[in-house]
Amino acid sequence: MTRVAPLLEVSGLQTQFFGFGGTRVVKAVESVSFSLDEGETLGLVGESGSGKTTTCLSIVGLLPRGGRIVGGSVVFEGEDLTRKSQRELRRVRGRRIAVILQDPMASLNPLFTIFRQVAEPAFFHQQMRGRTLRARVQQLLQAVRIPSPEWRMRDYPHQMSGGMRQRIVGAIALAGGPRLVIADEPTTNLDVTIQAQYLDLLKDIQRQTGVALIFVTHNLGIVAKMCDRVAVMYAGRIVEQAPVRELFDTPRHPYTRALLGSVPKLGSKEPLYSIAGQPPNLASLPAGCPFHPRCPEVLARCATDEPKDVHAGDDSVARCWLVSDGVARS
Amino acid sequence: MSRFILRRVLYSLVTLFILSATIFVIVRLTGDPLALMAEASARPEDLDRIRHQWGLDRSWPVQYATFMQNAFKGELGKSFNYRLPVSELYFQRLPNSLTLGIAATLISLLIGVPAGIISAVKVNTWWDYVAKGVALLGLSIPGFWLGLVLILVFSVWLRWLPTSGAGDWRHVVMPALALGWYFAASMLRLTRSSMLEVLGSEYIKLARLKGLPDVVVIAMHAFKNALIPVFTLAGVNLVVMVNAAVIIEVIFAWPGIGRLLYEGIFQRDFPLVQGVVIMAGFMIVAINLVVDILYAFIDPRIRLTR
Amino acid sequence: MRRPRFEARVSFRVLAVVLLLLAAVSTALPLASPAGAAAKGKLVLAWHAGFASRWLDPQEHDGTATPDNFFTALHDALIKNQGTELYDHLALAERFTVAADSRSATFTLRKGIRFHNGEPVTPQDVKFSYESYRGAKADVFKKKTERVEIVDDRTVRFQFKEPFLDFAILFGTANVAGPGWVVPEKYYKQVGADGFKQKPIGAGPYKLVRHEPGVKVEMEAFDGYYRPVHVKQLVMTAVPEAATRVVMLERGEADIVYNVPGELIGKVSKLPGVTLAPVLSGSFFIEFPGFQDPKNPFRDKRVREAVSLAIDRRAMNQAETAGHGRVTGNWINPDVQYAIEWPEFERNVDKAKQLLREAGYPNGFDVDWVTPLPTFYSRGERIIAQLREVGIRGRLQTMERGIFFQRLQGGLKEFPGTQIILHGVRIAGSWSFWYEGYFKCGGFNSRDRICVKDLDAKFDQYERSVSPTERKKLAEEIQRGILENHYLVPVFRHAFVNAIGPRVVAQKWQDVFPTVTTGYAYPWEDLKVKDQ
Repeated sequence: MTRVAPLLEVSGLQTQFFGFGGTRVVKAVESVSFSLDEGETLGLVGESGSGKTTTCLSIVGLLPRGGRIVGGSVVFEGEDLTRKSQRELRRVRGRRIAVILQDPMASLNPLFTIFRQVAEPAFFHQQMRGRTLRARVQQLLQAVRIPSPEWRMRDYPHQMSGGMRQRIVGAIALAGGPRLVIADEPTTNLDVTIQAQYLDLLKDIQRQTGVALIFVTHNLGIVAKMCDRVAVMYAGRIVEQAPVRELFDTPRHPYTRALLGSVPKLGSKEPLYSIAGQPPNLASLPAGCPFHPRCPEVLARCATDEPKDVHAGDDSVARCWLVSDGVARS
Repeated sequence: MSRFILRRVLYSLVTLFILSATIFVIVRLTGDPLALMAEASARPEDLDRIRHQWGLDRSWPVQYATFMQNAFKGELGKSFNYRLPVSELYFQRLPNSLTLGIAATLISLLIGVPAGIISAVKVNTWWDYVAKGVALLGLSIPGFWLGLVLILVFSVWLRWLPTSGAGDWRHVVMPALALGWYFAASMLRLTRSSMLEVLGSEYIKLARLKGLPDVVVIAMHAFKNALIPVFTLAGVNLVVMVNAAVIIEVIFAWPGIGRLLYEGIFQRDFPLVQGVVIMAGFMIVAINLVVDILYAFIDPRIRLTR
Repeated sequence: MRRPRFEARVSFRVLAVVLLLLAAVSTALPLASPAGAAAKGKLVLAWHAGFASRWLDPQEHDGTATPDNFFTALHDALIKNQGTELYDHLALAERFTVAADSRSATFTLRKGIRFHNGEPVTPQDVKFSYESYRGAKADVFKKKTERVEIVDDRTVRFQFKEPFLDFAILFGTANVAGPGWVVPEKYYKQVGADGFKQKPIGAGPYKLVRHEPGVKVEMEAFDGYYRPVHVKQLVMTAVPEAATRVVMLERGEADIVYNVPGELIGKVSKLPGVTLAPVLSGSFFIEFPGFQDPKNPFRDKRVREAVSLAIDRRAMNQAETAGHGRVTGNWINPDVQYAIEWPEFERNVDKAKQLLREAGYPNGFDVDWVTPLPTFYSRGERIIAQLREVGIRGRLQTMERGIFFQRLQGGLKEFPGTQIILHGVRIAGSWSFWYEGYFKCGGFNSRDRICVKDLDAKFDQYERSVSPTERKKLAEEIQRGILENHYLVPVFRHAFVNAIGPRVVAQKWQDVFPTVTTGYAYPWEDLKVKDQ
C-alpha cells in the first residue's frame, strides 16, 4: 500500500539553548520525531517546560535568543526547513505555516487596526492590494465569524473582547493560505464558554480548508475533542505517540497513565491524584529515563539506560522499558 | 477626548500655581538685592527709596498677589538690571533659544534614536557595546569641555565655523552639537530599553511568525510602540535646552534665555529670575500637555477610551 | 573761419585743465565734517561679563569703574578724564573756570555741538543733566549746590553753597560720577528713564544702531562730532567665557578683548599680531576688621607689621598677573589726587617671626577667616600660604560677590572674631573718595570695622578745609599714618590684562589704552583699524 508523503515529517529533532556564554546548555528538545498528514490534527501534550512550544518554534525556525537546532530534520512539503536561511523561512512563515499564540491581547499590536494586522500576510506574501485585499480581509473575518466585519476591521484590538481577538488571530493565521497551522495553547486564556465556540470554529475551518493542525495543549479534554493523533511530551522527548482513541484506551507510558489519572472526574469525591516529584530541570537531567525519579513503576534499568522508541500496536510509539520488556501493564 | 484635554489643562494650571509660589519664595530667600543694585555710596535712605520703588518693602503675600495679578495680564514684572519688562526680555531672547533648542533636539534625536534602535536590535553584539560606549561618553563628557574643544577644532584649527555668538546657521552648529550630544545619550538609552521591551513582546513575535520582513517588523511594528516614552523625554529635554542651557550659552556667547537667567541670578534680579522660571515652568507644562495630546493621536487606546 | 575753431580748442583745453584742477583740489579738501569723511571699518570689543542697560545712561551711574566703558562711547561731558588728564580734559566745554574761592564753576560750550538726533547741545540740557542726576555722589552734588545758572546761550555757571573743592574731580572723572555727562532733556523726558536706557541718545562720538540688552551694543560713528571719528562701526559684545574671548581674538572676530585671565596670558602673548595691554587697575590691600579690640591680635602694631613683612608681593604679582601688575608701596594709585609715593615694602620672614615673638605670639596664632574679594579666591589662598610661614594660620572663606558686599555693608558683626579681608578696589578721582567709603568710621563699605579716631578727625578737617595746601598736607598725613601704622597692608596693584588684535593700529599698547585713569580703551574716536 503506497502512502501519500506526509505534509510534515519531523525526525530526530534536537534543539538546545546555550546560555551564559555557552557554559550552560539546556536540552529543550531531545530527538523528537513525528509526522503529520494533510488535514490531520496532531495534539502535543505535556506539562509546562516539556518542550512543546520549543518544538513548534523549531519547526518554523524562530527560536528565541540562544536557541539552536543542533540535530535532526524538519521536512515540510518535501523540503528540509532546518537547512533553509532565515530569508527563505520568512517565505514559509505566514504563507505555508501559520502560528496562533496563546495570549490574544498580547499578540495584537495595540497601535494598528484589525484590518492592517489581518491584511499583512496577504499583503506581503500574496501581494494583494486595494479592493482585493479589503475583500480578502472581509472574507477572513467572516470565516472566523466576526460580525459586521466591514466595520470592525477599522477597530483596534483593545476595542474587542478576548474571544473575538483570538478569532482575529485565527484570521491572521489563515490570511496567507497556509497548509499547516500550529496553535500554541490558543484557548488557555479564554473563558470556558468561549473555548468551546472557538474549538468548534477551528474544526469548521479545518473541514473547509483542509488545513493540518498541530494543537499544543495541556488539556486532555481538548485533545479528545480536537485531535486525530496525540504526542505526549516529557523533558523534551515524546514519550508516547498514538491515535487519540488508542491513547485514551491503552496508555502505554506511565507518564501518560499518570496524566490521564490526574484528570478530575466530575462528581467524584476522591482526592485529586497528582504526580509525585518535581518537573525536571532541563539543564541537568538525570541519567537514564528522564521520568524515572517520579515513575510509580520504575525499574532498576530506568536509572541507567534511556529507553528507545518502541513501536506497539497499530500506529503507536512509546519510549519506556516497560513496553520494550514486553511487560504491558494496564 | 475633550474631557481628557480639559482635565489635562486643569492639572496644568494647578501645577503652574504651585510652581509660581515656590519660585517666588525661593528667590526671595537668596537675600536682599539692594546691595547689588545700588551704587557704592548709597545711603540707607537711597536704599529704602529703591526698595519702595520696586515694591520690595511690602509683605511677601502682598508681593505675590500683585505678581500673580500682573502675570495674568501677561506682565511678569520689570527687570532691575535691564529696565525692561521681563516678558519683553524673555521673548526677545526666546527665538535664539528656540533655534538652539530645536537644533539640539534634532541632533539628539538623529543621533540617539537610530543608535538606540540598532543597539536594541543587535543587543549584546559589537554594535550594542559601541552604542553603549557612546552613550556613556555623552553623559560623562562635561558640556563646557566639549564646547571649548569644538571651538578649538572647528573654529581655530579648521577655520570652518565662527567661534561664538548668534548669526546664520553656521553659528548654531557647534552649540547645538555640544548641547545635543548630552541629550543624545539619554535618548539612546531610553530608545534602546524601550525597543528591547517592545521587541520582546508577543505581537512582535507574531509579526515575525507572519513572515514579515525584518525591516517591517522593526521599523513599523516595534518602532511606533517604542517611540512613546521617547516623545515625552524629547519634550522635556527641549524645554530644558531652551531655558537652562547656561553653560553652552555662556561658552558660545549665545544670546539665549539660559544666560539671561544665569546673569539674573548673580545680579539678584528678582523679577527676571522669577519671570524666566515661571515661563520655563509654563513651557514644560505646555509641552507636557501637547505631548499628552499627541499620545492620544498615536495610541488609540488613549484616544478611544474616555 | 579758422580763428574761432582755434579759440574753441584753446578754451576747451583751459576748461579741461580747470576741471581737472578742481577735481584734484576737491579730493584733497575735506568737504564734509571731520568725522564723516574719515570713518571706516569696524571694530569689535569683546566685553568680559554681562552688562546692565543702565550703564548706557550716565544719569544713573552706579559709582563703579564699569559703566564708563559704555557711556563714554555714546555720550560726552563738559570735562572728562582722557589721556593723561585726570579730569579736566575739555570736551563739550571749550573753556571752564573754577572760582578762586571754589564757590562756583563756569563752563562755556563749544559752538556747533549736537546730539545724535541733530538737536543742539544747549546749556538747558547741561542744567537738566546736572539737576536730574541721581547716580553715585548725587547726594554730594545736591547738598553742596545752590543753583545752576544759564548765563547765556553757551555758558553755564554752577553756584555752590560753600567752597566745593572736589567739584571738578567729581564732575570730570567718568568712573566716579556722571552729572557732567550731558543728555538731551527733551528726548530724555519724552522716552523716560527706562526708554532712554534702551535707546540712548547723546553727544558722544558714536550713535546707537542696535542694543540687545545684555548681549550686544552696535554703534556707528556720529558725523556731527566735533572731533574726527576713525572707525565707522563699533560693536561691544558680551562674551563671559575667557577662553571664547581669546579664540575670538585668534580668529579675528574680536579686535580688542578685555580681561585675559592669568593662565591664558602666555598663550595670548604668542598669538601673531596680538599685543597684550596690561593696564594697571585695582589695588589689593589687607584689612584687619575690628583690630582695635583688645582681644584681637592685630591690635598690636608689630603683628600688623609682621603680616606686611610676611606677604610675598612679587610672587603674588608673578603668579596672578604674570608679573604685569605693580608691587605697591602706597595702594592709592598715583593717578589720583593727593596720592603720595611710598617705597615698596620689604619682605622678611625672619623679622616677621621676630616681631610676632616680641608681641607675644612665638607660635603664631589662628585667624578665623581670610576673605578675599570674590572671585579672586586664589589670591586669598596665596595670602594664607604666605602667612602660614610665619605661623599665622587662617582658612579661606569664599562667597558670592553680592553676599560679600552685603556683609561689608553690614559692619563688624558680619566679621566676628579674628579675621582678615583682602579688598580689591579701583581707586578713582580723589584719594578721599576711597577713604570715605573704605576707611572712615561709618563709611559705606567700612562701617564700624576700622574707626581710627585720630585719622578720622583729620579727615573731617580735610573735608571742612577750603585751602588746597591744607588739604594736601592733611591727605599726606593721613596716608602716612595708615602706612606707617600698617592699619592696612597694601599687597599689589593688579593688572587688568587686555589684548589688542592685529587689525587695530597701534605702535604700542598705550596707543589703544591712553587714558591712565581707566582700564578701558577710550577715547573711542581715536581708535583706528587697518584697511582691509
